[in-house]
Amino acid sequence: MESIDFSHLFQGISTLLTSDPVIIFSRIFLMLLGMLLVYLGKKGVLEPLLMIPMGLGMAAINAGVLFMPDGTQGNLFVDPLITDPNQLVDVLQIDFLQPIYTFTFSNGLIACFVFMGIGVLLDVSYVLQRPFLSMFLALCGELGTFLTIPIAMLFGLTLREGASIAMVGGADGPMVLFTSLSLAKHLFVPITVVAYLYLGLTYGGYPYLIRLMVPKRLRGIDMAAINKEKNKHKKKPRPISSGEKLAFAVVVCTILCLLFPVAAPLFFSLFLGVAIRESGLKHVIDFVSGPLLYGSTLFLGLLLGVLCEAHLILDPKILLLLVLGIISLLLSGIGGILGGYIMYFITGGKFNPVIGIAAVSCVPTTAKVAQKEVSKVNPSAMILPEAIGANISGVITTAIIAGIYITLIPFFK
Amino acid sequence: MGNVLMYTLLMAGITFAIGFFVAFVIKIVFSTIQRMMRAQTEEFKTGIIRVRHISKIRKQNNVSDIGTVRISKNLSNRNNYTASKVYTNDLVEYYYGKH
Repeated sequence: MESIDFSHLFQGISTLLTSDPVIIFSRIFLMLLGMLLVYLGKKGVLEPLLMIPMGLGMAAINAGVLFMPDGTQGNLFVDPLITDPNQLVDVLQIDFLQPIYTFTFSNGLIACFVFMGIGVLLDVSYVLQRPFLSMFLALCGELGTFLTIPIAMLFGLTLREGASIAMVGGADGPMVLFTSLSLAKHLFVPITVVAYLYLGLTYGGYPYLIRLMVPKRLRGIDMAAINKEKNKHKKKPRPISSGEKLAFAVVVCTILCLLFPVAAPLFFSLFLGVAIRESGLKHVIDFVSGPLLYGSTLFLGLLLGVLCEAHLILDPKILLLLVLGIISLLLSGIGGILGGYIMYFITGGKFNPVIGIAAVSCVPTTAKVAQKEVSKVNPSAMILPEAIGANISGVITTAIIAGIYITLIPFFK
Repeated sequence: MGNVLMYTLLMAGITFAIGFFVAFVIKIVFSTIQRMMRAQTEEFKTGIIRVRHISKIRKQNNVSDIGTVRISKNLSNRNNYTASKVYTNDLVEYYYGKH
């Protein structure tokens, strides 16, 4: 009987033992982090839809490393660094997630699919009822998206890298993916992972920011009661028809595509979702809001997980990106609440400043967080319509900013 | 660094301008459609009221057509009408005035 080479029999362990100590540590750390993400997803601390496939992918990719025929270490999941077309054709037939990565992830298609799904879930009537208020709050909620650029450059990042990580402040995963793919392709994996990790944290972190910045007395302001009082002598506002919402989607989509052709796929995807919803195409609505959205989210999470391979993610900039990501989200949250305060003072105290936090898009998480915090202080208070309006405007403004960054930054030296 | 701050301010300015432009477009599109729909609704409402009123008149007078109709023999006898036709347009004119 031929002698068995155990190092080749258990390649996962032998690749771990023969690696550089830094890689050994990173692989073990990432495996444990993956398990932690699955646990936190299951517990509901982080978004389970994304964190469970991402965590599992992260653990599996760092465990399943093997020796390739040329003696190097690799895996059978995906190889994101391939650029040679011939090699790509070979890898497409070997790595099982390579087709999804090449044909949907690296060109931003998966981000557009998620955006279409978000579009189908959006009810734009809240924006139509108060366009200026919603847009003003949304613009304030982008504070982090702007201020993080100079901060990132102070830490030594380039303008393109700084703009990509600053997009985390827009709190829209697909947008961060799309922008970093266009501006800093070499960092798009860590930036997108950081973005999704933090987006999962908004649900847990923003309530503390609200409690810190808005006193209880103001948190309990009931917008429904204020609106009732305001409209006492007016006719009850007519519900907005689907035709009006469809017209809104068509007009705004066309204008934004005209202004920013580079980000046109994003605008188109979002407003296509809105148009499908308002056209009442039941089967298409069911398809986009169900299989397409959830399928894309699953593969997005899975791909983000398997892209967290130790060799790939071991970049000295990662720690910096982690810090900048949280700064960006924090500044956006602060900006949103400050916008809420400005409205509070403009209206003479007839506005709940907590609504401002909902302007940090992340549909519909931040709107839910805002309502939850208000309900804790005043259970009968209702701010959800205003919060959702700001929330949807947040998505639109983040898409506008993505368009501006992708279009203008390549011209800045 | 000065350049970066300038670029950031420029991009923020453009975002604010476009954001408010979008809000303005929404307001314009929305209010135009709303106005059109309100006008249509008003017309529709007036029309419906008118049609209902006419049918009521027609029912009261036992008339079954909107144009000219023959009056049933019984009604003609009961009312002692000499003419055998009732013009609905006259009825409408009687109630709503000349248009």
